[in-house]
Amino acid sequence: MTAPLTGYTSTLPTDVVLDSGVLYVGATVLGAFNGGLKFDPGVEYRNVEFDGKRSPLKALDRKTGFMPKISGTVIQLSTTNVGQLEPGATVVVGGAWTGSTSYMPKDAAGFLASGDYLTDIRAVWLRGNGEYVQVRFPSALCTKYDITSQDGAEIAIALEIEARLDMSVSGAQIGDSPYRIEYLATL
Amino acid sequence: MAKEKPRYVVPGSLNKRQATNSTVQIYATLRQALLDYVSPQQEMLREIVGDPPRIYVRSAPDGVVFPYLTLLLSRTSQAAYNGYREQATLEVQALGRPESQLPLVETAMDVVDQCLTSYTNPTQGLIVGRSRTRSTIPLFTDPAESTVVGVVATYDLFLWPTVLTSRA
Repeated sequence: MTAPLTGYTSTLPTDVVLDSGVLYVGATVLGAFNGGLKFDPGVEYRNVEFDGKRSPLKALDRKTGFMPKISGTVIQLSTTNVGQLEPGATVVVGGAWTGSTSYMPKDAAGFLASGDYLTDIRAVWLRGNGEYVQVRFPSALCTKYDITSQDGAEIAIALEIEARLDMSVSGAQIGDSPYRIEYLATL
Repeated sequence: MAKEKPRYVVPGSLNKRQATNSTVQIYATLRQALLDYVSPQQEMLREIVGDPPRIYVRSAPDGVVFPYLTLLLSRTSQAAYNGYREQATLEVQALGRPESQLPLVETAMDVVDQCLTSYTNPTQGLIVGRSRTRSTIPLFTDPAESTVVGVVATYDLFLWPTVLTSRA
């Protein structure tokens, strides 16, 4: 009898990654999500072109850039969350804007300040052995979100958080990756 | 004295090493998980079902003391994983008598809920549980025993049992 051809190995119970994961901002959970988190490293390669090339050639590839992104759908909107979704937003009291707490999004003209960025964004997943694997953006920015409400269910806020390379870190080079994949025994 | 009916699992047969090498071991693993679980409120199932623990497979023995639990596992292997992965449902019944045991039975099932909806066991195979459906049994009427109270819950599990992944 021939057993099926399979990718199963005896380490699967340890190495399997379970559940939809949790998004952290520093040491704090960003909130509850509907569905899983998606990480896209957004890596771009260029295989050098030349006249007479017939196929992509080994050793002629160059990594040309990154656009790492974590996306998901969060179902809550605390005041802390607004600050995370709207980088550089300021709290406005009085004037033409009402509400006990009113967030004024950052204006569209100037650069973001260093403090407007999110620090240590982490998408954390549980491994089968009870340990964790995470994608970490040391510096990041929520570049896109939208809010969809629905009858008789939680709100759905689809968000995208992109990594940013922090050149103020000692030794940082312009080609460095702005993300890490890390294994943790504990959170 | 009536002869006790034959049983699939007899006393002592579940005292096996925790693993997924056989169906009996899977039952033993899940049963032990239930007995070992301590809730955040420091509640333990073994305080409710006694010692030796009255957690049985399929049905309880004759003359059983209430409350008790029964386990019944249904497993389906999946072609998409060459039959190595299983989707399973574990039906757990908690039964009490008299009716005043209902809070005890509900509490027992709360502990089972907490244990089996956060269950990950990678020991000799993999068993994972995350969700369930649960209902309280309505009041029985004659000829059934009307003082029996119960809760039934069905837990959705998935497994990579070595009984299937170690095929020759």
